[in-house]
Amino acid sequence: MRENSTLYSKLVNSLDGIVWEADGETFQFTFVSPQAEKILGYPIKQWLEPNFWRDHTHPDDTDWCAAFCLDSTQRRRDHEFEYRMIAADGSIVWLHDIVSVKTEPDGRPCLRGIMLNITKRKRAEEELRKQSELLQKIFDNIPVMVCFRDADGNVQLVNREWERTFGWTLDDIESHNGDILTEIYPDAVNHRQARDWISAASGEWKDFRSKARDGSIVYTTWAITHLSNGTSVSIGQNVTERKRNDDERQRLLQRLITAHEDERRHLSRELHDNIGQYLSALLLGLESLARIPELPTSAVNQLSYLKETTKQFELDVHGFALELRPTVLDELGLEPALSTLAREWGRRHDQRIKVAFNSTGFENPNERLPFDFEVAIYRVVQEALTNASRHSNAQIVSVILERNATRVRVIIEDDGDGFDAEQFMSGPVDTHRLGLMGMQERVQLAGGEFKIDSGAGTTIVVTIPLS
Amino acid sequence: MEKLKILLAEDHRILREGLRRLIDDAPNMQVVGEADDGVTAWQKTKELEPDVVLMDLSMPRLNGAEATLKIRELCPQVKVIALTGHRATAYLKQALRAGASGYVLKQAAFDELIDAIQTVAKGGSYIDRASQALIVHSPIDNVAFKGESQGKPLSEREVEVMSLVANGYTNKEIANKLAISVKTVESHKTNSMQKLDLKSRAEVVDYARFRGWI
Repeated sequence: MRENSTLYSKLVNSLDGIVWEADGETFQFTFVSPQAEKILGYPIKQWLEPNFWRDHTHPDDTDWCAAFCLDSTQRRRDHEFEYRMIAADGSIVWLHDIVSVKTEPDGRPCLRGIMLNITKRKRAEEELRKQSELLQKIFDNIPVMVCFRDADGNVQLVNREWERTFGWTLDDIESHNGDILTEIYPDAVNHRQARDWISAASGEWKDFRSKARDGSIVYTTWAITHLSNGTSVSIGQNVTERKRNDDERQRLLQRLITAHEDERRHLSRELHDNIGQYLSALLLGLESLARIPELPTSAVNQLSYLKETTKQFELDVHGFALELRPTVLDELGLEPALSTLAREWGRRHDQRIKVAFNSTGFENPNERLPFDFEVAIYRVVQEALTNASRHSNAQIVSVILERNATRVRVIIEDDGDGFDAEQFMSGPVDTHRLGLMGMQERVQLAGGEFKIDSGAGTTIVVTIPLS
Repeated sequence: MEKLKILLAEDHRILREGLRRLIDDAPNMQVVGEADDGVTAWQKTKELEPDVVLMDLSMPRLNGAEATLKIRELCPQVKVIALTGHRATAYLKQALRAGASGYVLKQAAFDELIDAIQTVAKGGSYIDRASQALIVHSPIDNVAFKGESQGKPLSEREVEVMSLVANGYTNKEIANKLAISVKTVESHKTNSMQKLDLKSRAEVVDYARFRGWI
């Protein structure tokens, strides 16, 4: 018995709570464990005075606590509740009170209970409530779309920005028959892409063309991540403005390129078809002069000198025309044009470099590629050969042109010095880098992909899909 | 002996006149008609039945190659010599495919044109010397097929790397794919190319195609 009571008091004293006993009608404490003094700061003696409990509960809690306790006690019902008391130092202490109601042999109710100090928990809850309020405020007011989905991909919650962007409210979504995604992405391909993007939840950004409720087109970009319970959160932005600017920029660039190429073609034709033909005629004239019998030797020598000069002149004009815009590209297509460029490069530009050209998929000369693609690829190869000549000390440059049903690809690889492509592309802008950026732009305008890899030599891979 | 009848199809007037003077001056031949576009060229061919048509390849309305095709269909006995200012083998191929018997660059010496006319009139074919050089030195022929001339077979890894190179992967991509370093890829590539005596990626592609790796 003695051991038991020691164990009991140890247990009671180790709790961050107060074990108590009180009269069921007056609520006057008849016993409180020593912890009471520590938790609230009042001496035990004071606890045992009449009305202590009532006088020290928080004014906001006093009335309902008293009423609740009285009611429960009258019904002889065990009960528990949470309320505040004011400590001796004026601070607020939260208590969770677990009360059992016993009836004494004389019929009077007796209360026994334990008050657990839950102040820390309550503070944490308060903190959490504040945080969630903060999150809620952010969720409601941030100009970024947020959408929560359950594990099956059904929309659970969207924020105001989402509603503003698409014109559908959360209520609309809930009462909507079928999948809201079908409304936002009416196009089958877009719809599938959006579904795939949601289930992949890669956390990366991807642009989508979507439709608002009023039928207007909205461009949005989305990143989606899974939460630990299998649900997902989508973060999105309305990028319609940016997209319009990009499109406008692309259109301007395309127009600039077209104007530039037209000008070059015009000049090239002028050189080739006009000046070139005059020079050919001039050569013929010189030939016929040389056929006149019994010309003096000085005239023969002079004629042969003029012929040589005219020939050289003609070659130069031909070369300029080729560089501006090769007629063969317009008339016969990419493969013959690149083949000519590869052959002429060593002779015209750089004696140290040999260009090895190789092509497949161009067996039928009547199957031309879209003209923009031909010009874009031709210019990329021209630029890549220029870079190889100027910057790489290369000896052999390969130009490999391949075409199949789905794409055309050109690879330009040199055996030169190479450079750190990634660092280079983020470094200072010089003509070399401008050249690479220009290539990239042209390829992207044609809807293709531009890759550069440089180490032992430089490899450029351009792939343009053929639809 | 009757003179060879020549039809001159060339849209550039000055050049046409120069050619006409020289041809008329040459023995055994005479310009019987002129055309300044492809359509007129074949209409006049039908009408005048010349022995040889000198056909500029770049002409308005119907280009020279198409006019040649038409002439070869309608008047197979008429020979066509293609004339061009472009130094590109593609034009040569195009002209020969269309059925031209001769091909002469405008920059060639006039004697060559006379040679060409006489040769094709007798049923032969003619390609001027500069264009012959183009075919011999065309880049496709430059990449002559080489092979395992060194007698050292490639290791399995080297075959793997070479076939990825031939299929258009960059060194970095090959390194990622095979989970090896870029330096290792580079050295596999260099060693393999040395073993096979291949000098460029273009030759690697040719070799791979021969081996059926592509």
